[in-house]
Amino acid sequence: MKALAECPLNKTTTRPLVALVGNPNTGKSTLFNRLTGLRQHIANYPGITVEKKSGLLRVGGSSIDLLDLPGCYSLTAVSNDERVVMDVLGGRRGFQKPDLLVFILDATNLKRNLLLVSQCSELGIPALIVLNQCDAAKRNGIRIDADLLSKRLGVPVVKTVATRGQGLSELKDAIVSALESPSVLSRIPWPDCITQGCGLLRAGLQNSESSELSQAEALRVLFDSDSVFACGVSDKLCLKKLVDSAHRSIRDSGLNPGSAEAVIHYRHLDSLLEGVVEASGPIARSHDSIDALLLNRVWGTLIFLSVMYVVFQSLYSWSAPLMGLIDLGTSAAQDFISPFLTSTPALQSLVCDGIIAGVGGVLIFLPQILILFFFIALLEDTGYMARAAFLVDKLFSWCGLNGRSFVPLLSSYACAIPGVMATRTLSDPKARLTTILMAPFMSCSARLPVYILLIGTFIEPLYGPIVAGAVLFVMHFVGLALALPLAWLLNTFFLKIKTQPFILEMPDYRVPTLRNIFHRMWERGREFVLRAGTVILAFSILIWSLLYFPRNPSVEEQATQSFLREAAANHSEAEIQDALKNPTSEWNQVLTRRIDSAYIEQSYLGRFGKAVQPVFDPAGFDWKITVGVLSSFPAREVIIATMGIIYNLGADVDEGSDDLRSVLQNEKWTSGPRKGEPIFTLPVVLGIMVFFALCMQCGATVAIIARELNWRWAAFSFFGMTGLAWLGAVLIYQIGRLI
Amino acid sequence: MMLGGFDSQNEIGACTRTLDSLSVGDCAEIEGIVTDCDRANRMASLGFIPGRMVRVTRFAPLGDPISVQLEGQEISLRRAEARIIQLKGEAQ
Repeated sequence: MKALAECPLNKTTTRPLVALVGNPNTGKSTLFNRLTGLRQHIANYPGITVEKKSGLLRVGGSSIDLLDLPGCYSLTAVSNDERVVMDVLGGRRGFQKPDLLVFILDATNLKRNLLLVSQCSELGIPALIVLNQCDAAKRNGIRIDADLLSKRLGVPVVKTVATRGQGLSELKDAIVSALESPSVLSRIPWPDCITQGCGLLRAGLQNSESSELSQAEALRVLFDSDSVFACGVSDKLCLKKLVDSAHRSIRDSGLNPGSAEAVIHYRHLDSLLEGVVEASGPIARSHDSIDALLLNRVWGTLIFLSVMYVVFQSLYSWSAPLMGLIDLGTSAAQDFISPFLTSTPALQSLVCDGIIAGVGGVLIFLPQILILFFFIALLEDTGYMARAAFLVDKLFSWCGLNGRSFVPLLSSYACAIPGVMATRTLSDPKARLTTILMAPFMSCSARLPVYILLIGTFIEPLYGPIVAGAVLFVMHFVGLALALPLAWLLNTFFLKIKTQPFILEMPDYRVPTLRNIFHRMWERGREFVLRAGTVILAFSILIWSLLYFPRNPSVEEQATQSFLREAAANHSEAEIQDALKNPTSEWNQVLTRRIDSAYIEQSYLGRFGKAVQPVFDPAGFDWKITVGVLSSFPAREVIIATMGIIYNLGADVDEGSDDLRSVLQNEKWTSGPRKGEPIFTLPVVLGIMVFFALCMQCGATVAIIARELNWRWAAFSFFGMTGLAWLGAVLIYQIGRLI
Repeated sequence: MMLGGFDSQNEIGACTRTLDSLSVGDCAEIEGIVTDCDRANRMASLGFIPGRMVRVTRFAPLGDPISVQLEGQEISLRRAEARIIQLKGEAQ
């Protein structure tokens, strides 16, 4: 693993570099996993959030660096995924050019898969062709003459069935011999108008780029106005003029410059595949009858709802026992370690409340992440995910999201962490970005305790259970109702990324393999713990220190003295001394709670809360609510425990606690213009709930957004949501006061 | 040539049929793609090229996107994208 960390791409290693290239859904990743086993390294390409999967392939005594490039249909670089492919294949931007390209093709759909191969033939990199899913092709009555194909393409062709590991050793041998005696793809004969256009571009752009464009790159500039190479040209005006004139000559020879490239490639492939592919009769797709049911207006919708119900239930409820176990483990670890550190209370608190609680706070997300990725892998591998996206796309298309946003948003109702991670299934960068930003608005399960506490304390006693239930229901849609219009606003006015056409290929239905599913779960779980987990842990230690320090001992003295003074009013000295001697007496517990409360009030966060209380005053929050709200920024569920401490009830209260409820009902303003009035009026209560619904009070979500996008978007999301939450709470309070 | 060039040199009238106008079960031959560089290239790469037959297999429950069969592959696309794909003649 160590050696892999400094593996390929940016540095020149002595090992040969082999890149796997292919369309999505060809079994490329399965093959990659099969070839590398668990000897792989996942990172992001520098500066962008495209996953870089590299691994080590050992054949005999030699080892080879294997790179799994993102799946793409063509070299048209619209998304970041495709740009990476183009950059790597072109050896641009510091990437090491691969020594060998291994094309993974879906044998059931050879012609379309060969388009990418045909485009790459211009690069002149040695290649090897893998015909995967040969079993499915055979079932569909497709016979492929691999030898003839190899002769026509000019490179070796190997047949495999990746899911069952068939043809793997042949493939490994073929890779080794292709590296020893490389052969390149035979090039496609371009019509004159294209060759001339390329010549024009190469001659004209020679001076504006530091290095000359190759023929392959000129083709990209010619056909793809967004290509990375076109972006690299500084003189845009000159570029546009050249491209326009080249397009004119293409048009003059009767071709549409927009589609000419594909048309020419396909014409070439038509003749290339003559006699290579033999289909017995019309191609019978195995999935037609299943689709008739699963995509049916009525049955398809019902099945979709049931499938999503199961996914959601398992995330929401079935993960609970596992999460309970992790909670138990965390407190067991705290209880175990704590006695060893009693002599150094600061260290004790750091280890128990900072580090162990922080690690527990990371691990607590694992069950949901693993469960969600189990389902995602299952749904994708069976081929249902594309169908699900097809069914619900219309619900999301109006606001810039698409059908693939459904699963991430639904999962975010349980927890935004797995939800944000699930957006990896969205290939459109704009839709993915928007989905990530909307995910934290979904009412996650950590908001529920806050709703239950406030509704149970203030709404149910006044308006009865029916209204209470209705309010709880409505609270779950506040975020969604705001998120979708916001997504629309963001997409329409602010995001300057191009919208991609939402096109789904409906893959064949397949029986998933457990091996693949577990690999996916392991990969995601590991990535979360190692990459996001460390940031979340750092967050929780930071917040712990803000709540713990400065920890001036005089705070404890003062709290004790004021407690004793109060006690002395009603009790004799001896009585007090007796009660305090017994460490488990109720008096002692009350005293400890008073001290904890005093410490939190005097902590940096407490002082900060008091200082910023005026900011929350327009929402009717007093300093205690403000501190509660602030302390729940790392994780919103913390508010219950913090309120317990602040209101002298100890940290062990939960949302059903009668003590906490009665304290809240009796809280009154002690100073200021509202002196004597109750703090928790209906507008304040509703305001707090809306605040929690809209606010990004989750350090883990911030960390995961930074991981999936970058810190700028994470900050945008954090401050944007916090501002919105404040606005919501203020509006409700101010309007509520007028009514 | 009102939109500045099509795949085919044939005269195309104002009432050109596009893929989004077909009903479920309809089959037609692709005539070309409306010039629109970004999307045209992408659609063409997927196989929407002149001369090929395309058949609409179904609409999504909410009417959009639509699912079509093209060269043995099942592809789903939104009506907005279907609109840039021009078809020949009448339904068969």
